[in-house]
Amino acid sequence: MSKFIGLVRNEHMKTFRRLSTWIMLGIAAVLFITIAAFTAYYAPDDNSDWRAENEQQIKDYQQYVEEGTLEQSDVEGDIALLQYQLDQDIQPVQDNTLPAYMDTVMFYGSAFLIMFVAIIAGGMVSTEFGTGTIKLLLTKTPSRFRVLTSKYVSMLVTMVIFFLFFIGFSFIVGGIFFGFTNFDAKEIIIENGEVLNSNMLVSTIRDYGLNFIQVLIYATIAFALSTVFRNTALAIGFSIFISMFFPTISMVLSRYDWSKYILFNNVDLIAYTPGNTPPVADMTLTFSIVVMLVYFIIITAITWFSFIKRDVTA
Amino acid sequence: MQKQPAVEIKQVTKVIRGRKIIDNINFSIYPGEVFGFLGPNGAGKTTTIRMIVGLMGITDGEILIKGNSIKTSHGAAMKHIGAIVENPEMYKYLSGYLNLVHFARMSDNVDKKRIDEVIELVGLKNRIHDKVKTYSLGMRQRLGIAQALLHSPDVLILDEPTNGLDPAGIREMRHYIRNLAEKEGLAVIVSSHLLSEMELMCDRIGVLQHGKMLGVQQVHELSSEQTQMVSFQVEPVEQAAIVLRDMGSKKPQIKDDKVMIELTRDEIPVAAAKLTKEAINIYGIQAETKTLEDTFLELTGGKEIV
Ligand SMILES: Nc1ncnc2c1ncn2[C@@H]1O[C@H](COP(=O)(O)OP(=O)(O)OP(=O)(O)O)[C@@H](O)[C@H]1O
Ligand SMILES: [Mg+2]
Repeated sequence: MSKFIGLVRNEHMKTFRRLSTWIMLGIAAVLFITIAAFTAYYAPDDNSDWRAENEQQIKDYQQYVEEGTLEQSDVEGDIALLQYQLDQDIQPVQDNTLPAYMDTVMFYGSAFLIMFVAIIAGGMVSTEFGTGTIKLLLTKTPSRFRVLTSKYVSMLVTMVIFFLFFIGFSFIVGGIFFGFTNFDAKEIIIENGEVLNSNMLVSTIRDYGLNFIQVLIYATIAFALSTVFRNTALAIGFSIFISMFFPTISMVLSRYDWSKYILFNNVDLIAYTPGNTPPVADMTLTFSIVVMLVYFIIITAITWFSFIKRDVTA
Repeated sequence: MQKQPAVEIKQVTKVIRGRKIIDNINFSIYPGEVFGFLGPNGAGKTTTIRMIVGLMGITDGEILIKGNSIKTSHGAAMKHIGAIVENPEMYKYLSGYLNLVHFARMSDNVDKKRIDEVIELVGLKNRIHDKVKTYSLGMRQRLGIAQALLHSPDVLILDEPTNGLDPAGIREMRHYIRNLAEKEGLAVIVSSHLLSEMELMCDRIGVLQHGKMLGVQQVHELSSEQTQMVSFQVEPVEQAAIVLRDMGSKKPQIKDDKVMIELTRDEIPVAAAKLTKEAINIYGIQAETKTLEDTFLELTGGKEIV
């Protein structure tokens, strides 16, 4: 067991002694600060009247519908929300508050998380083949199974580190820019005419948790391609490509019922939170979890089998 | 040799995509000996080494390391092996020291003291904390050897260890390998297509071609018993040829200012004494140590690549 921990530490050393890993964290940090700076710069001044703004926005929406630029059904929800805020006298959460900022970072950051983790996972096995170091890695006492498992475990830990960095660093940056206040900010969601109130910070953290599953699946795919094809570019390229373009493909396919069995239609569990809808109407949370599990088992079985059985000719 | 062999290769065959790369080879390597694996490009040296260290599967046959099958008890077998397959590839973005820490963590009972000991042994102390990407090839070879020796193995396997080294580096590597075999009792397997080098370094040489083992020869036996072409740079040449007439198996030949004659190793000083006795001036004696090479070429039928 202690040797297995040694193997995981080795993988960690290799990930975090690489400049590219720190560049990714650096890019994330710059992104967070930029978002914070823009938000602060474009924030409305304190004495602006949110009631007047809400009324104006409702009028604008209605006018768009009359002109035919927007469909009544598209703006219904938004109008109801604005009206609800006016009726109940609840000031909407301002962008320049810590919870709203963290939510924005989560929204824009998730694509980066998939990209960063896919880059790390996609190189984990194939770079060892590319540099020839795989020959040293596999001619020691640990079995191939243990070597590969230690890499996967290290990848999981790296993912956790990246998530904690995103949450922790955006919290600090947000606090510095907008003050460590407004922790009780409420997000109002109107679903089927019902009004739901939820704590914005809590739902942001929940979404990070749900995103973790999605990132895990893309990382596992990158890791699998890296192992089976021993090709870093393919592994990283394919997983990032799919994560970016699948939403579009999904829309085209959504009229076919079978598309719900496609793995990538099931990875985004945020679709099952209030205010969102899954790609195919009759999909449920349990359904998506089962689909993901089945794919996960098949993918990892192929990956481990390939790594253990095939000749190393690097 | 009645010692227990360190490595046993038993009827090993390797087929890749229907092609027989290695065809039923058989040999054993004993503790304290340096075994040379000789063959032209594409003979199958690297493939055999890859099978010994478990990087490639064995189609047929068995390989035992200190009695442990590499197929069925990989861990127990690998415990006894230190290897460099082809090039000494290391993690370039890590320092030499961290590379060793990395491999120490993969082995049992390698502590900091042992790491320092090995660094001392390969003479990398001054540069060990520099990144490997700043190392010269010779330094990478040393680091590769350090990595292979870290867990004090009984078998050391080096695929073309002198590849890319300068003459001084080659000499050093040779001393090194001989030392490990003679003093530490390691069984060392080296591969090469350079015969002259193997002759100086190995106790036995196995000649491989087209995946077949053509024969295993004892190096020193071979060079003391077999004849070699010796050229004497003398004055006067004709008289020297007459003096040396009844030595060797064939008649001496005159070539420019030299007399060429085939002699065994022991006959060379005898011939020199004879020439001196007849007051013939000797300006140089050169033994063309190519008997083994001839054997090699004979066995492999020239240097053509498969
Ligand atoms: N993965 C592979 N797939 C198909 N053929 C292979 C593979 N690996 C090696 N071979 C073939 O096996 C033969 C032996 O190759 P090997 O690398 O063992 O030769 P070698 O003796 O080490 O040669 P060199 O002196 O050039 O290093 C060659 O003909 C090579 O083409
Ligand atoms: Mg080779």
